[in-house]
Amino acid sequence: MKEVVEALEKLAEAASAHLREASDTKYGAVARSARELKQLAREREYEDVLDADLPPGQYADISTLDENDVLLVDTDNIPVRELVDGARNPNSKSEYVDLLIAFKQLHKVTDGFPIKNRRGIAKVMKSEEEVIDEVIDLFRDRIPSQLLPVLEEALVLREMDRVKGLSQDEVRDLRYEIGNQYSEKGNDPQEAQHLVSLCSMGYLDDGDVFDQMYDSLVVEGDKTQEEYRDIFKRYVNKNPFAVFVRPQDKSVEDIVEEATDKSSQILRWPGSPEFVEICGKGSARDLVSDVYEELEGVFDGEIEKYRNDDLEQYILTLYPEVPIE
Amino acid sequence: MPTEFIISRSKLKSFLPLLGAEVTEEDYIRDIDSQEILTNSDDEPIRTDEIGYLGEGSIEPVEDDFSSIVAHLSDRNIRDEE
Repeated sequence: MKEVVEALEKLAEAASAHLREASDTKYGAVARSARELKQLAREREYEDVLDADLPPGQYADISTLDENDVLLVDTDNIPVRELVDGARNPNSKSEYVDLLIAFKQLHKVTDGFPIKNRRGIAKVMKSEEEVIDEVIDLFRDRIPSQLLPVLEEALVLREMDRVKGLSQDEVRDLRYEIGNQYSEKGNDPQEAQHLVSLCSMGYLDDGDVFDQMYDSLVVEGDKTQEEYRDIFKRYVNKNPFAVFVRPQDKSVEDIVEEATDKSSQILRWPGSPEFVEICGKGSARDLVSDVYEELEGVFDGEIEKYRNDDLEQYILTLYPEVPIE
Repeated sequence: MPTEFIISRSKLKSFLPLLGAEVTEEDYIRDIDSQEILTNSDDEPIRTDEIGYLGEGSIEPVEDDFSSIVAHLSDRNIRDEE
């Protein structure tokens, strides 16, 4: 934040210096705009800064974006090019040179600037770094290397959704991009989709399904790390224990059939979690509720319901009866 | 939460000089001092309407794509090319 304030102050000071060069007055509308920019930058009553349209002549204002206060700055209204060209003049004013130094420093500390439709990615990668690191570090040597970038992207997406609350359309578009990038490297995009879904449910978190599976198969069992990698890939490929429900995607009957099919097979999988989960998010929760009604009459085993309104999730866990040998 | 400095695509032309760059007539990004066209990690120039992120460095334009931006920002060394 310090560097953001500094860069904006330098922008205001350079604009004022440019005005003094062009005119004797420091009381006009432009001077007021520059003072306003400096004052708003210093007051720090904003979470982010957005370079966007303001009325002609206005340099800055406070507005909202994604329900957060933002400082709007309109670089079209500021003679940026003149200030920057002025800094290259051998007799340039120190304000111009300071401006370039401040923005260079800002570029460095912020790691770059997002275009508006990509806001939030860098922010979440920084603020949720520990959460993402924990899972990546856990699976770095446990899963096929080509899936690691997908896992990282899936974690960033999950954290963005948790922190920002993405719309279903936004999630769908980002998932498509993850799958598309994975397929451009010669892989099956469906595999990426399954991994993103498994990750969104926390199955790769410390102590959850795939961590427990590693413990039982490798740490306590006789499987090698390499064999676990193959097993993990099969789980991601076949997705044998999770049914992800999206609205208008499947009918109640389709979901019941998929869930009962999977529950009849899941105990045969190596390191089996011994359950099948039906996961619905957002508006899919009503569909999951209908599935529960239907399953009660046809499923031989125990069903647990779990609703997490913070994450807008509704989950049914099906425990198939273990056959008596 | 860290503060983000977000740029509307329509403001790239007026904003970029603050980072020592400019938009060419063909809509690429050029370093003002060296007059070199700035490229992405594959050494390819990309147009302003294809950019999603202005990466750190001299300015590395990053494609308007979620995976590309995460890959650019990541320092976890988990990608083949790293």
